[in-house]
Amino acid sequence: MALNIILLVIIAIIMVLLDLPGLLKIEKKNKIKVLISYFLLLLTGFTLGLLLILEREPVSPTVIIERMLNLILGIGL
Amino acid sequence: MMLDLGKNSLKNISLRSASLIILVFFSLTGCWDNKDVTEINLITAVGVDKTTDGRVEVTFEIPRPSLTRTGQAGAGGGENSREKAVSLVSSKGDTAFIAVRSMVEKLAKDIFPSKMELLLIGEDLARAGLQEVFDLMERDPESNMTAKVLLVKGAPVKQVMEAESEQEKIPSLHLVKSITVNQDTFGSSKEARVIDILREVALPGKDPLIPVVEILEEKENLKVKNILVSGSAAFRGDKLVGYLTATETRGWLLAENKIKASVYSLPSPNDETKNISFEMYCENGQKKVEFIEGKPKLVIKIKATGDIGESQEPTDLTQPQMLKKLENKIKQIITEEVNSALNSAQKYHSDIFGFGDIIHRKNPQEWQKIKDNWPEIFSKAPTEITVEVKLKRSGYTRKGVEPL
Amino acid sequence: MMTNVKISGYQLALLIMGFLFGSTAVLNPTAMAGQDAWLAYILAWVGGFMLIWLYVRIALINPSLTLVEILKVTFGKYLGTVIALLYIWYFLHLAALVLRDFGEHMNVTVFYRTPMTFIISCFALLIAYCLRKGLEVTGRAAEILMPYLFIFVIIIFFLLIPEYDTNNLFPFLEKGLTPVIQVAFGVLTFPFGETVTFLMIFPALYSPGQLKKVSFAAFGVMGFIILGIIVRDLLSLGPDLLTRLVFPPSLSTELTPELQLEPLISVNFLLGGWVKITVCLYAALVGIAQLLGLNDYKHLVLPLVLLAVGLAMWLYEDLFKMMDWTANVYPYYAFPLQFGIPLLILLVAKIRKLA
Repeated sequence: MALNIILLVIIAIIMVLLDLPGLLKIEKKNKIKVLISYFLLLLTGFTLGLLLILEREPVSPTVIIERMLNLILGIGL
Repeated sequence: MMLDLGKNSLKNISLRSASLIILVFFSLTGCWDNKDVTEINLITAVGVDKTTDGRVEVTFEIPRPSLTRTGQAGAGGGENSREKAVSLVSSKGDTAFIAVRSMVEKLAKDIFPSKMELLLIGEDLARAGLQEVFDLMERDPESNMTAKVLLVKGAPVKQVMEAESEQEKIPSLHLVKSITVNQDTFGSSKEARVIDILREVALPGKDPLIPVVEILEEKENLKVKNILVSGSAAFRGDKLVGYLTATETRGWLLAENKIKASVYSLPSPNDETKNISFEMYCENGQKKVEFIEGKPKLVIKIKATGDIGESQEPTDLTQPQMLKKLENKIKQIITEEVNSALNSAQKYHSDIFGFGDIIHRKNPQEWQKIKDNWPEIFSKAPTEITVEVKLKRSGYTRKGVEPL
Repeated sequence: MMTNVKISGYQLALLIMGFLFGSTAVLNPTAMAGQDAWLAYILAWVGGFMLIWLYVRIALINPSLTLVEILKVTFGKYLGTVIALLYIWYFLHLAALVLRDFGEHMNVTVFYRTPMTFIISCFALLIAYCLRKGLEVTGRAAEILMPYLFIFVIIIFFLLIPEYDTNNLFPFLEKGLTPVIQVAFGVLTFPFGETVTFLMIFPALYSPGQLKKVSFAAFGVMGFIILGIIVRDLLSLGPDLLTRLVFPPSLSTELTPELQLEPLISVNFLLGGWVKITVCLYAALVGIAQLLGLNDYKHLVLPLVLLAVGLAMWLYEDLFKMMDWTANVYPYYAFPLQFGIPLLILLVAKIRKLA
């Protein structure tokens, strides 16, 4: 488990290192927007990976979709 | 981009190619599921049997690569050294899967069953039901669905597997080849693959027929020539219910249109002490079910053509009247064979001809009415067998040589 | 906007074909219809033509606009954005689903002990590279690789001829038409309806005049090839085995005489899955970029691929749950996105024209 977490962290760091030169080159206008969305996405992915490794993941969206469809369509799925 | 390292200098290009080459190495390793050929035991045959205490016994035939090599070994050491080219290992377990896996306790290397060519099934296990064996074969991605199946009659599976072959270094290959050749040129036994049986077991109106192997003569050093692949075993669903003799099996093959050629002999019309033999080719075997007042009638139609293969007396056999006589006699023989196969099937309540399947596919409404009682209905249904025989050739001669 | 991306008609056709082939050919969604699988498929295929006609109409009414922009134009800024987010989630979900399918397939058939995360990550790495290089590169790679897919399918089809038993097609409609239509509905949503993703890609076509011809031709050709695969599986395995198997093609291919061609099924899955995931993630990326008003989506590739891998592992606990969900829930979840909203877009456009 510890190894998996270390691997995940390394992958995230490599990603940032690969992207950083490109991210810094963006023109001023969009820079903040890109940086925020970039790190937001990265953080989501990273948290999801971390939770999966720790086996503490929240309810899967497929289950939520299933429940919602049950509610709306009332079909015994 | 990812590999954009700046200026396209020579140094950078070589660095790029070096990193690419290293990447290629990674893709060649196959890390977790790596299995080297030198580190696996290839399996050529598997035997499954039931022990007296109700557990499953699995036997593997594992060829020993150094001894199965052809070529240089032939003249010198191969024949003289009494070493067997295959080793047999068996193991017991509550289920076949456990037995297979616990085999590693006795082996130096992991097992690899993808190349298995033959599956031998014990009689006791067959009577209890084969569901488990076929489920395992279907589930396991490493199994070979085109392996041939043989049922061992009246002996432990292991005893048959111990038989040595004088023609093939691996005995199971001898058996496998013999089954195929037999169905094509003689017809005393049929060929059944795992996939064929899997398809038939679950069909509501069709039961499997599996070829049978038995020990001909008990001997100290059993050879494959001392065991005989002949006849077949009729199943109901996945359970063994009875045996068909060699001629009955041939009758079944004729009706199923699966036989390529077979030989028959009959006494000569001129001289009862002399025999004439024929090689018959099945041209067309058809099965039909006719409904008469809601009751099914089983109809088999066979068209066969043949050559005169041998004559023990020098009459000209190609005269029209003579041919007619011979054709009628062969017709009787074939009708009798098919009839006895059908009678046996009806006796065992085992629809090996797949008549139920024909009703199911052609007449689904009717099938819904009778499917629950099909084994009983099948066993009591009237039958009709029509055989047409035509002798077409007589080999190189029209008339045998007349010794003076 | 993304006007700098241009692909040729042939490349678009290959992308559509690879997308349709994707995981369809390996999972065989028609299997549940038993001996009527071919009929269910043909019904769905006809429905698929109607769907692609709908998508092409939308693309022709709004030339050089992607789905996200069309939504904004049709439903206004706020509602449009919400629906666009829904679509972006759907594309991401689809990519994760195919990734997971691929991982499960590899785990079941070839790599039993390799952790699935590793298999999926390797595949995702390849896709991330393609996405960073852009759609043109993916299109050109498809030109090189896709012919192999066709060759493999054709080889396996003809090698299996000795195993075919036409009896497996009967009895025709044993349980009536209802189960067939249910299966056909499932097949309509997977894979045909999923081509709604291409509404994000149509603007990239070099000559928009070809759009209709190209997409219909791709549907025709690939539809025919998948029909061949379905008939092959049905004829060689029979309805009973077909309905019981997880990956029917892997077993039917095992029956090729004297040859072991099962790996080709995995290779085909790799090729089709690669196109499908790349297209889905490309659509999601372009969608995100357009919502944020960015010029270039390429900066977001790596984090999104990481998210897709995480999703692939997160969405389903196990193979059984996944199979159950894709068969019973997925059609109802996907159909509004594949048919409902596109139809609405078209209607709104018509009404506006009249007004």
